Amino acid sequence: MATGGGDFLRKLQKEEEIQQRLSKESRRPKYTKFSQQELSACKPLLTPMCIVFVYIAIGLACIPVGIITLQASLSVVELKFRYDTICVMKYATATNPMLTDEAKSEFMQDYNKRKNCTISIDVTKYMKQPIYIYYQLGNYFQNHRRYVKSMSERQLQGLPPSKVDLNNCKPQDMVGGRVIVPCGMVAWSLFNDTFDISTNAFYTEEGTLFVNKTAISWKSDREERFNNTIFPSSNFVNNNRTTVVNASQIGGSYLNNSQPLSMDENLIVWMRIAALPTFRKLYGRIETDLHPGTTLTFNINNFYNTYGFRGSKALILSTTSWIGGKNHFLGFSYLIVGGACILIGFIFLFMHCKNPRPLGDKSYLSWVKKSVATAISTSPTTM
Amino acid sequence: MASIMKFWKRKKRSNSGAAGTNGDEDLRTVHCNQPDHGAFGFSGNSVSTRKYSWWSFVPLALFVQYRRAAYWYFTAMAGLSLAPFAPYSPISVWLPLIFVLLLGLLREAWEDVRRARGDRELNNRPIEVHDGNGHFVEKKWKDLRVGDLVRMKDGEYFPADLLLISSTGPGGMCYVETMNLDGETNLKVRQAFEATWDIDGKDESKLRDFRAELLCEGPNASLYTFSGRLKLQLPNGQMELPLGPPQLLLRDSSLQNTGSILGVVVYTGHETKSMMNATPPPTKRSRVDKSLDRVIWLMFVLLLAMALLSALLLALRSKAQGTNLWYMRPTVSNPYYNPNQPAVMGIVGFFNALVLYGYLIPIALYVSLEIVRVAQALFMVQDLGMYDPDSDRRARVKSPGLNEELGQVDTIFSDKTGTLTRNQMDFFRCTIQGVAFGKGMTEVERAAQKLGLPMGPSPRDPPDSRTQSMNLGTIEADNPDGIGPDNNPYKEKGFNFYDERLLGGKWVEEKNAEAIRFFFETLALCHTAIPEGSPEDPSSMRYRAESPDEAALVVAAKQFGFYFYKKGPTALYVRESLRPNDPPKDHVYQLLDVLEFSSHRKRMSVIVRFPDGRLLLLCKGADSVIFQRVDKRRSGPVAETARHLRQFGELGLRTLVVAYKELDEGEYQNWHTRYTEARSMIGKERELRTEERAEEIEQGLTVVGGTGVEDKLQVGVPEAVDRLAKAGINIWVLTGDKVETAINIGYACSLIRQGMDKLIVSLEGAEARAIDERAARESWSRDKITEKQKEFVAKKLSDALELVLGGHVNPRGTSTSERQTSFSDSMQSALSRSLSRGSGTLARNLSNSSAALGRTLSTTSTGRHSRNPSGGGKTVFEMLPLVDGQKVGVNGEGLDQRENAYNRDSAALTRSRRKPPAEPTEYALVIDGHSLAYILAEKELQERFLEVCINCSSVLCCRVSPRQKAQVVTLVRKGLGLNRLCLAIGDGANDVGMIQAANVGVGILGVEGAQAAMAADFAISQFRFLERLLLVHGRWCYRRISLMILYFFYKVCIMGWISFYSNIFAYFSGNPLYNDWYASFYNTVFTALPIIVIGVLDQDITPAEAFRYPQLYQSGQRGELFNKRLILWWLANSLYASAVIFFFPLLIYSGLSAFRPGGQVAAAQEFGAAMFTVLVLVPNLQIYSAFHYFTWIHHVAIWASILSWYLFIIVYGALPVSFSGIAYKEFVEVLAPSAAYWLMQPLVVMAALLPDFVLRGFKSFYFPSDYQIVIAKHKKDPIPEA
Repeated sequence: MATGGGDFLRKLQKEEEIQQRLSKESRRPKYTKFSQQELSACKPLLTPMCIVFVYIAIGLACIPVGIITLQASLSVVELKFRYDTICVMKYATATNPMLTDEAKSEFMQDYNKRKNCTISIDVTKYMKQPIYIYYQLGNYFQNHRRYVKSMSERQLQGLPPSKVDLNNCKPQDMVGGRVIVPCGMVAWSLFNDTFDISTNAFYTEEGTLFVNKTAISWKSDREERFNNTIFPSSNFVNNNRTTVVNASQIGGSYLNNSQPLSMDENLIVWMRIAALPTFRKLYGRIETDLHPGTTLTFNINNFYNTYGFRGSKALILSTTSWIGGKNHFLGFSYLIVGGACILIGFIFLFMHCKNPRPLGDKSYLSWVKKSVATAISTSPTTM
Repeated sequence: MASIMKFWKRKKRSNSGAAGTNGDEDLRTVHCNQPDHGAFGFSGNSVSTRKYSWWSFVPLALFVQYRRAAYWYFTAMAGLSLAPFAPYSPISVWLPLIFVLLLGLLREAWEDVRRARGDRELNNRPIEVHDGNGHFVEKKWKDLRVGDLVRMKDGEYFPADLLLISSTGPGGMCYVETMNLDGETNLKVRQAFEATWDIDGKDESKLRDFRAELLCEGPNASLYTFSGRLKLQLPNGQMELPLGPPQLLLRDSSLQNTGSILGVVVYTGHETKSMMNATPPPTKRSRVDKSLDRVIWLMFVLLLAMALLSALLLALRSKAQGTNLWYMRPTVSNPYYNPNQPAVMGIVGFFNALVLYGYLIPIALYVSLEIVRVAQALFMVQDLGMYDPDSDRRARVKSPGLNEELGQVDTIFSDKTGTLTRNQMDFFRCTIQGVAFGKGMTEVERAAQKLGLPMGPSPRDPPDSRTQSMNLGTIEADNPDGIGPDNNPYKEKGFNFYDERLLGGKWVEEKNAEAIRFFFETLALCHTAIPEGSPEDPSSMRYRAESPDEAALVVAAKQFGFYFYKKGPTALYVRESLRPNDPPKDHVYQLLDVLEFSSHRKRMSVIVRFPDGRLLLLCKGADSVIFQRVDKRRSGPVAETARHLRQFGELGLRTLVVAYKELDEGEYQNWHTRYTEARSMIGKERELRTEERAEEIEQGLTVVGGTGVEDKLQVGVPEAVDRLAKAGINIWVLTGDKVETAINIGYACSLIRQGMDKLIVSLEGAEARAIDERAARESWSRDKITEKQKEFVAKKLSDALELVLGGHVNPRGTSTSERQTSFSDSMQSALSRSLSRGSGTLARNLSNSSAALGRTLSTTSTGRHSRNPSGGGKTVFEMLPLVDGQKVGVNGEGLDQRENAYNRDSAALTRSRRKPPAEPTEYALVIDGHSLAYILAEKELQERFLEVCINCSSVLCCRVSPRQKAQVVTLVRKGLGLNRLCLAIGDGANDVGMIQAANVGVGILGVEGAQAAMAADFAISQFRFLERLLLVHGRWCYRRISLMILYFFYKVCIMGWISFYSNIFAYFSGNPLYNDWYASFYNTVFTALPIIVIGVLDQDITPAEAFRYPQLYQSGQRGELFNKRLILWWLANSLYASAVIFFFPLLIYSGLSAFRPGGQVAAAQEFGAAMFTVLVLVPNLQIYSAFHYFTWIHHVAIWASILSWYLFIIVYGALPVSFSGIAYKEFVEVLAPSAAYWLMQPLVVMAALLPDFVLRGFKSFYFPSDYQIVIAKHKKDPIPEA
C-alpha cells in the first residue's frame, strides 16, 4: 500500500508535468496560504499564569455545580427492603431448614407450597409524590450474550420473526408447531413477583394504596416499538398459573392473551436489557405523598426463583429530583474534580512564585544545556 | 509477489529465447534482412508492461493487497464475524474491509488500464520495414521481427535494439540521444561499418541482396556492452566484421542530427536492453513504519492475551455455575452454550472476544496513513521554497512512504560534482611548460575569505598573496580599462579564464609560444565532443561532450584560436585564427583512434595524424596516472606541472594533465592491428584486452601542461551545509576528486570549519608514497606492497581514533595534552623514518609531506590550545621548529612561508585564549578511495573506521568509485545500526547505487540528466533545497506521522479497553454494551477526520524558526516523538481515559437509580449511548490538550466529528423503528431530556483529560522541549520569513 501511494503520486506528478510542458506554462506552484502551509493558526501557549488561571476558573465553576447536584441527589428519599431471604425463610421448618440454595430452590419449585409473604416498611421522611416502586435483582445476567439474543425485535414490531431470530429464541421458539409470541428466553423469564401495598395511614380509603402501573416504560416503546396489534399467543403455557398444575417451577411469567404487547408495560420494561448484573426495574408509581410515621405493608407473591443462582431481590421506593434518583456520584465527582483543579492551580502558582522560569529561556535549550555541561565538565582540566 | 511474477516472466522469456540460441544460451544468430517470422522462436516486438490480464486481475490484485499482513488479520476477523456467535453484526465488520480492499483494487485497475493504454500506443506506432523486394512498407512496432531491416528518420525513437547498417550521415555516422536510458543529454555517436555503408535504401537491388548472418550475445541488461560478429555475404565471398556498442542502437533512445538510417532488428520486445533494465527500485520502508509493525504485533499479542483471559474466565465460570442460570435454559441449549462443555464455550468465547476487542488493530490506520503521506508529498511538491525558477522545476516525491524519514536523518552522503557544485565547468587556470597562467579568485577562495579562514592547506603561501596565489609575479594587478578577472570580456559558458598574457591572441608573443600553441591545439583535438551549431558562428557553437569539463577545454581551445567546428568519422576539422586580424585557416586532422575515458583508466587519448604528417598520441588525464606513464628521458615539466596542479587543486579546481607522444609509423601500425583484433572480441574478454592494448601505447608520454577547471558551488551551499551541520547531521562528501580539491571544497562549503581538526588518511600523500618508492627500490612483490599499505592505513586509523576519542572523553584520565603529544610523537617518528630513507627523488615529496604534517599539527594545536592553553600544548609548539628544521635541511624552499604560518597560528592562539570556545573540538576525516578499499575489505578496519567516523563531524571520501560510494553507505547504514539514518544525495548515474543503498535517496535534477532523480525517493533541483526538505518538511512530516500514529493508537486502545470492560460485566459472554453501529462508525466517522487533519497540517515551529534554530532537528534524530516511552505514555493515557469513559457513565447509568425525574432507570442501550457520547468527546477533545497548532480546519474537523455523533444518533433514532430497533428515538426521548446526560459530559471530559493536561503543563514548565522554548520565545516577535 505504501508503495502504491508512491505510484499514484508519481503518476500524478508526471501527468501534471507533461501537461505543463505542453501548455508551455511555468511550473511555478501557485501561491496560496494553504498550499504554502502558512494558514494563520492559533498556537496556544501554556504560560504558567494562564494555566493557573484556567485551573482555578474550572475549579470554581465545578464546585457550585457539584454542590447543586449533590443537593438534588440528597433531597431524594429512598427506601429499600431486600425480601428474598425473609420471604423464603418464613417457611423454614425443622425438617426443611432451607439452609442451602438448593433447598430454597427446591422449595420454590414445589407447586403445593404457598410462597406469599408480608413485609412492612416505615416511612421516615416526607416523600413527595410521585413515588416510584422498583424491584431490584442481583447477580442476574440479563446481558449475557446468549440471553440478549434470545428474542425477536421484528416480532415485537408485529412482523414475522426471521429464521435467525427463531433459532436464537430456542428453546422458547415454537410450541406445537406454532411460533411463540413473543419468542425467546427474555420474554419467557419475565419477573413475576407481585406486590400489593396497604398502609396504616388515615388518609387512604380502606388502607390500600393505589399503584399506578402504566406509563412506566418509554413512550416510544409502548407506542411504536411494541405493536398494539400483536397479542401474545401460545406463550409459555407452563408458566400459566391458572391452568397448569405445576406452573412456574422455576420462574417466568405467562402473558395475558387478550392484551396486546404494547399494553404489557411490565414486559416492555423487562425487555430493555440491563447493563449490569445488578439492576432495578420500574414496577409502578404511588401518586400520593407519604408522611413520616406511615407504615407501608407489602403483600408479596414470591414466585420468582433467584435462589438457584444466588441472586437477590429487593423492593425500593424512591422519589426523584431534577437529576433523577439517589446517586451522589455526579455531585461528588464534580466536587472532587473542581477541588483537584483548584489544588493543582495553587500548586502551580506556588511553584511558579518560588521558582519562576521566563518563557522562551534559551538556556533551557537542549544544545545550550549540553554545551554548558561540557564546559563545566571540561573546566577542571583547564585549571 | 512482484518477484514471483517477474520470475515467471523471466522463465517464460528464457524458454522462448533458448529456441533461438542454437543450443548455446549466450549466443544468438540473426539472419539479417530475413525476418524469422517466429521460425526461430524469437519473441515479437510487442511490449506489455501490464501487471494483470482481465482474468487474472481480481486474484492477483487482491494478492497484492494482501501482502500487508494486517489485511489477513482483518479478513480473518471479518470471517469470524459471520459465525453465529459473533458479537457484532457481520455487515458492520465487513463494510470497512470491503471499502479498503475496493479502494486498493480500483487503484490497481486504474494504473493497469493506463499502462495498457501506454503499451497500445507504443505497440501501434508505425515503422518502415523492408519488404524483401527493395521497398519499404509501413508496419506497426508490434509486428516487427528479429532480422527485419528497418529505416528510421531523424528524431524517431528506435522500436527495438537495432544493428546500424548505414546512415545518411558522413562516414556511416549517426547521433543518438539516450536521455530515456541513462539520463545523459549529450549526443552519442554510433557508426556503421564501411562495408555496409552503400546499402542506403536508394539502390533496390542492394537492399534485396543484402544478406548477412549476425552472431551476437543473447539478450542481457547491460546497456554499455555489446559484442558480436557480422558475417556479411558479398558477391565475391564472405566478410567478417567485429561488432561493438558503437553499432548498436537501443530501444528508448532516439536518432538525432541525422537524416535517416537503416538497421537490422537484433533484440525485440522484452528482450531489448532497455526493457531488461526496467527493474523496480528496491522498496524501502521507513523506520517509523517498521516500528509501527512492532507496535501492531504488540497489540496483537495483547489482543490474544485478552481474548484468552476472557475465554478462560468464561469457561471456568460457566462450568462452576452455568447450570444454575435457569433463565438461559442451560440444559436445553444450543451447541455454543452448554455449561457442561466448558471447553467448547471457551473456544467460542475466544474467537468471540477476538472480534470484540478487534479495535485494537485498526484497519483505518493504514488508509489514513496513506492519505496523509500523499497529502504531505503534495505540500512538498507545491512548496515555493523548493521551486527553482531557473530550471522551472519543482521538487518531486517518489516515495511518500519515506516522508518521515526526512525528519530523522543523521548522516548525509553527498556527491560533490553537480550536487554541491553546479557541474557548470569553466576553464579557469592552466599551466604550460611549467608556467602557470590565469588570474582571479575561485569561489573556494572567496568563501574562505568570507568566512575569515586561512585557506586550509596552503600555509606555504603568504596570506597577503592570497588573491594571486599562483606566484604570477610578472602580472600587474590592475588594468587601466578595468578589464580583469572580474570583468572579463572573453567570458562565456565554459570559459572564465583571464590572463592578459594569453588572451586576445597575445600568447603568440610569449617566449614559448610554440609550446602554448601545441597545448591549445591538443585541447582542440583530444576529446570526444560533438559540435552543435553553425560552423560559421563560433560564439553560438555548443559542444555535446561526455562531461562538462571536456566541453570547457574545447571552448578554451576555441578562445585561443583553435576552433573545432566539425567532426567527421575519421577527421577533426579545426579552424585556426591565431591573431584577430589573420584570415582563418582550416585544418583537417585525421583521427585514427580514440582510447576512451573510463573511471578506471582515468584518462583518454586520441591518435591523430596532423596535417603536416606527424603521428601523435594526445592524452589527457588525472595527474596520478599520467605521471606514472611519462617518458623518463623527456618527461616535460613534470615537477612544475605537478606543483601547479596541486595549487589548482587547493583552489578547488578540477585538474587534468595534458601530454603527448610521438608515434613511430611502423610501431603504430603493428599496435593498431592488435588493437582492432582486441576490439573485435566478444564478451568480457574484449574490455580487458582493449584496455591492455591501450595501456601498451599510452607509455612514455611527454607532459605539456595542465588545466584547471572550476566547478562553481551551487547557490546557498555553504549556508545550507552549515545549518545542516548545526542540525546535528554528519555530512560526508563522496567524490571522485583528489584530496586537495576535496579539502578545499570542504572549506568552501563549510564542511570543514575553523577550529576543526583534519584527520587525513590517504595513500596518495607523501608518507604513503614513501612506501611506493621503497617498494620500487627494493622491488617488493605486489602482495607485500598491499600488505604495507594496509598496515599504513590501519596505523593511520588507529592514530585518528586515539586522537578523536581523546578529544571527546578521557577514559584513562590522562590529560588531552599528553595524548596530543603522543600523537605528535608518532607523527614525528613517522617523519624521521621517512627522512632516514630520504634520497634525492624523495626530496620533493618530503617537502609536501612535512607541509602536510605541519598543517595537521598546527591546526591541531590551535584546536587543542583553545581549550588547554598551557601545558602539553606548548610541547607541540616547541616541537614544530624541530620538524621544520629537518625539513629545511632537506629542502630549503618555503621556509618563510612556514614562519608565516606559525605567526598566523600564534595569532589564532592568542585570539582563542581570549574567548574560550563553547563547543569541544570537532574533527573532519579525509580519506581516499585507495585506503577505503583496504578498509572495506576487512571487518576489523571497518569497525575502527566507523568508530572514527562517529566522532567526526564531517567525512570526506576522495577518489571513490561509484561502487565504493554505495559500499560506504551500506557500511555505515549496517554498521551503525538502526539508530542511524542515512540519506544519500547525488545527481549523476554514478550516484544511483549510493542513493538506493541509503535509507533515503535524494536526487538532484541537474545537468547530468535525470537518472539519479529517477532512482531517488525525493528529487530537488538545488542542493540548498535539501535544507528545507529536511529541516522544514522532514521535521514536520516526522512530527505529523509520529503524532498521528501515537494518537491513533490512543484512540483505538480506548475502544479496545472499553470493549473489554463491558465484557467483564457481561459474564465474558462477548456481549458489547453498546450498539454495533456506534462501534463500527467510531474509527471511520466519529474520530476519523481530526487525525487526518493533524497528519496533514500540524506544525510546531515556522520554517523561519526552523532555519534560525537548526538544532531543533536533533529531536528527530533522537526519535523524541516516536519511541517506546511515548508509546507507553499514550497507552497508559488510553487506559486511564477508557476507565473514566466507561466507569463514570456506568456509575451514573448504573441501573440502580433513576437518571431522570421520570423515574426510569437506564438499561444497556441507554448506558451505551451515553458512554459513547463521551467516548466520541474525549479523544476528539484530547487533541486540544495534546497538540499545539490549530487552524480553522482543525476546529472544523474536531467539532464536525463531535457533531457527527449527535447527528448520527438523532438520525438513527429517527429512522423507522424497523431499522433502528432498540435505538429508536434514543436521543430525543431518552438522553436529551436528562440533565444528568449533559452534566456528565463535561465532567467525564475533564476527568479524562485532567491528568494528561497537568503533566503536559508541568513538563512544559520545568522540562520544556526545545521547540516549546522557541515557540515561546518568538511568540511575541516572530522571525520574518526569509
